[in-house]
Amino acid sequence: MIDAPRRISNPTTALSLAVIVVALVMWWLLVRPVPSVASIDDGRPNKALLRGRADPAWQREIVLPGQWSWITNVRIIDLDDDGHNEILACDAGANRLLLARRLGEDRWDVATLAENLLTPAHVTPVDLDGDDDRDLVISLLGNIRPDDGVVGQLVWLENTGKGYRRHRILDDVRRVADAQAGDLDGDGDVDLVVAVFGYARGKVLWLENTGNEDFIEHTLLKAPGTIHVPVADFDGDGDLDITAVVTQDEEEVWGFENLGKGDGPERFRSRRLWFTHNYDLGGAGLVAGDIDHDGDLDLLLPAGDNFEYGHTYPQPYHGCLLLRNDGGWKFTVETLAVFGGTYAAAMGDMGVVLVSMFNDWTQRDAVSLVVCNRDATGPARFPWTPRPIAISPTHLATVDCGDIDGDGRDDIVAGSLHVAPPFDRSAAITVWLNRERAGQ
Amino acid sequence: MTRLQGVLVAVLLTELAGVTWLIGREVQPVPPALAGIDRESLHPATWREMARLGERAAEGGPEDWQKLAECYAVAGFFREALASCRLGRLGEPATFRSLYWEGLILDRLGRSRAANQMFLRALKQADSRKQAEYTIAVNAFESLVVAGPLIWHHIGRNQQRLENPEAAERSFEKAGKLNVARYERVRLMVRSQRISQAIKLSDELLKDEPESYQTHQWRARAATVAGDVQASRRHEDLVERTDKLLPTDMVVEILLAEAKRFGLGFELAQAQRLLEQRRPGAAIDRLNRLIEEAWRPEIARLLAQANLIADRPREASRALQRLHREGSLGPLDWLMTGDALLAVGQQDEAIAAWQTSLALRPIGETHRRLADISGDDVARRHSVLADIYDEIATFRRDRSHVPREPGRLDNPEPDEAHVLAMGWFCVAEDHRFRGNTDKARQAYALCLEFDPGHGRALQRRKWLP
Repeated sequence: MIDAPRRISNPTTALSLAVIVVALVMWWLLVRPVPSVASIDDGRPNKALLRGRADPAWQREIVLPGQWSWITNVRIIDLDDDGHNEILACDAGANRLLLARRLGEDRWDVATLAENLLTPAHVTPVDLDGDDDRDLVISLLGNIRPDDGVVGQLVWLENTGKGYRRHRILDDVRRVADAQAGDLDGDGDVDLVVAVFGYARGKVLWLENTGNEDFIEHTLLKAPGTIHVPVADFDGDGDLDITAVVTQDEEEVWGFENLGKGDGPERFRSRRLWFTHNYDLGGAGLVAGDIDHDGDLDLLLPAGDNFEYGHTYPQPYHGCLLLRNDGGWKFTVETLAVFGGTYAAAMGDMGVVLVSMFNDWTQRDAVSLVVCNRDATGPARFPWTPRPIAISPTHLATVDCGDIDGDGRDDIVAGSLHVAPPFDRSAAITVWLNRERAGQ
Repeated sequence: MTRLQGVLVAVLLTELAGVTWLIGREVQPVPPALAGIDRESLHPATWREMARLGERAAEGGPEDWQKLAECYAVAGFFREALASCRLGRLGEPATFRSLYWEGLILDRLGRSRAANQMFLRALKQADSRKQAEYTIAVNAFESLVVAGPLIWHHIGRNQQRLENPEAAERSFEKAGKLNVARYERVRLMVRSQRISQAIKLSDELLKDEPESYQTHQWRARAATVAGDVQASRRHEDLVERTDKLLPTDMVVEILLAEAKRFGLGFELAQAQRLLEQRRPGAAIDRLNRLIEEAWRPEIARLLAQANLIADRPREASRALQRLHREGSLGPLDWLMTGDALLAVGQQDEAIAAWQTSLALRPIGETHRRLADISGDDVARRHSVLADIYDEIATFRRDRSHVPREPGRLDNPEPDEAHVLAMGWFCVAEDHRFRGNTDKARQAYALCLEFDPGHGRALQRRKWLP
C-alpha cells in the first residue's frame, strides 16, 4: 500500500522551503552567462588588441594637425645639409610633398616642397643625376583606395639648387608604392627598383639608368600588392640585391640576387624567401636592418593591413615578423611582436618601433605606437613584449626614427592615415622626443 | 502569522522582486550601449539608425536584435554586433540568418575557428529545413545567393588563415562551381606544384569567367612553371586586356554591400538610385539634408555630381568648395570642378582646374574639354592626346578593340612624345596578339622612336618570330 504524499501543513516550513527555492533560482539567474559586449571573447582575449597608457618619458609634439589626414610616408633626413634633421612627408590627402622644420620647443614650420603629386606613397632622397645634390624620387599611387587602373606614376624631382624640376619616369603603370635606388648594374650611375602595387595586378621592376635621364624598364616579378622593395647587399657578396614584400593575392617575401652579370631581368636570380597561406595576414611593409647584430641584414615585416573600410579589427596574427638572415638566401621567420593593425616599422637606438593603423580605436586606450626590445637580461626570445609609447594620435601608417632635437638620441616621427573613423584622436604628423633618463 | 513567518514572507517577497528583475533583464536585455561608441565618428544618419534599432530591440523580438547586430556589423562595431546577435537568440530557436551573421562577425573579429563552427551550424540549420536552395539576400550580388557554396568558401578562407591548406582545399571543393572557390583551388594547386590540375581547373574557370584577369594571371603562372612559354605569354597578354575583378574576400564584400541597408550607406544608395532614375532634384534634396547634418566627402562628391546633372553649376561649385579645402581631390574632382566653373562663365578658372586635373593624371576626357575650348593649334594637340588616351583606355579593357594609330603631332613635347609612344605600343601589342608580326614590328619601332627606353617594347619586339 502506498502512502499518500505527506502534506506540508506547517506554514513556516513551507515558507522556508519557498525562500530557499527562490534564492536558488535567483542565484542561477545571476551566475548564468548573459551575452554582453564584455563577454564576447569567451575567456580568450585578443592579445593583438593592445591597450595601455602614453609613456610620459616620450614628449609628444604635433608637427601638423589634421583630422582627416592621409600621411603615407615620413622620413627624418637632413635635406639641406645644415646639420639639423628635417622631416619629409608624403601627404596623399592634399597631393603634396611636405618638409617640416623644428623651430624650437613645440614650434614647427611646415612647407610644401612639391604639389600636384597624385596620392604620393613614398619619397626616396637620392642623387639620381650624379650632380652632387639630393634629388627626390616620389612613388605615386594615383588612388589611395583599391584600384586596378593604370593610375600610378614614378616622378623624379630634380634638385636645381633653386627648387625642383619635375620629370616623369613612369606613368604607364598601376599604383606605385615604393622606389629604391642603387647602382644595380655596376656602371656607376643610380638605377631604381620599383614596387608597382596595383591592386589585383602588380609587379616589381628594375629601371636601368641609361644616363640620358632615361630608364629602361625590366620586369622582375609579376605579383599584385608589392609594397616595399629594400635594396641592399643581402648575401654579402659586394653588390646590391633586392627584396620585396608581396601582400595582395599572396603574402610572401621575394629575394632577387644580383648575379653581377647579365642584362635586364637576367641579372637577378629570384627566390621566394617566405610565404604564408594566410591571405589575411596584412603584410604592410619590409624594412632591412641587422636586428640580431650578427653582421648581416635581416628583414622586418610589419603585418596588420586591414584596409577594408569600416570593417577593421585587430587580428590575432597582426604584429611584426622577423626574417632572420641565416646566410645563403635562407631566412628563419619568427614573430617579433604581436600588435593589432601594425602598419609600419622602423629601427632606432631605442629598439624596433611599430605603429598601428588598425587597432580597435573604439577603445580609448588602444595603443598606437610601441617600442620593442630584446630583454636585456636574457637571450633574444621571441616574441618581444611591445612597450606602449602612445595611444594618440591613432591610425598611424608610417614611422621613422632619427635625432630631431639634436640631443644625440633618436626620436620618433609618425604620420596618420585616417581612412575609417573614429577621428577623435587625430593629427597628421606627430613626433615623440626621447626624454628617457639614461639607463631607463 | 508568527513573527518568523512575517520575516520569511518579507524575504520571499524581496527574492521574488529580484527574480522578476533578473528575468526581465533577460527578456528585455539592454542593447550593447551606444554609450561606448564615439558619436562624432558616425554620421547622424547612422547614429539615429543605431539608436532606433537599439530601442526597438530592447522592446522587440529576435528579428529586431538581429537587425541591430547587422547594423553594428556593417559599421565595423563587431563586438557590439556579436553581443546583439547572441542576445537576439536568448531563449529563441537559432535561425539560419542569426548563425550566419554570427559567423561573419566572428570572422571579422579574427576568431577563425569559432567562425567556422558557426558557419557549420548555419549549414546544418539550412540542411535540417531541407531547403534545396537556402539563400541569402546579399546586396553584393544584387540577388539571392545559394548559401551553401558561399559558406564553404568562407570556411575555406578561415582554414587558410589558420594555415591549414589541405582543409581549406576540401572546403573549397565543397563549394562546387562557385567561381571564387575554384579560383582559390587553382592558387592552392599552383602553390603545391600540382600544375596540370591547376591548368585544367583554371581552363574550366576561364570558360565561365573569360574576362577575369586574376584567373589569367594564375593560368600564366601555371604555364610558366610547366615551361609553356607561348601559353604563359598569351595569358599575360590577357591579364592586361581583360577587365573583370574577381572579389575574393567575400565576407568583406558582403559587409560592404550590406552597409547600403543602414544609416548613411542607405541614404547615399537611395540618392544614387534617384540619380539613375533621372530624378536629380529628389537626390539633391536628400543629399542637402545629409550634408547639413554633417559634412562628409562622399556626400559632397555625389551632391556636386547631382547638381551638375540638374544643371545647377553654382550649387555644384559650392558643394565642391569644402572638398577643395579638405584636400584629397583627384583628377576627376578637378574635371568636375572645371565643368562647374565653365557653366557659370568662369572660363579661365575652368581651364586652370582642367590643367590641374591633367597635372595630376592625364585622361582623354580632360584633354577633350581643353580641345573644345582652346584655339586651333592647342585644340588640335589636345584632341590628338584625347584620342590616344581614349584608345589606350579601351585597349586595356576590351580585347576585341583594335586601337587606332596615334594621330600626328608636329614637334611633340617630351611628355607628348611619351603619350605617342604609349599609343604605338598598344597598336604593336594588338598586332602581336593577333599574329600580325610585320605590323607589330613596325609599331614597336615607332613606339621606340618616341621613347627609346620603352622597356616593354624592347622586350616584346624580341618575342616576335
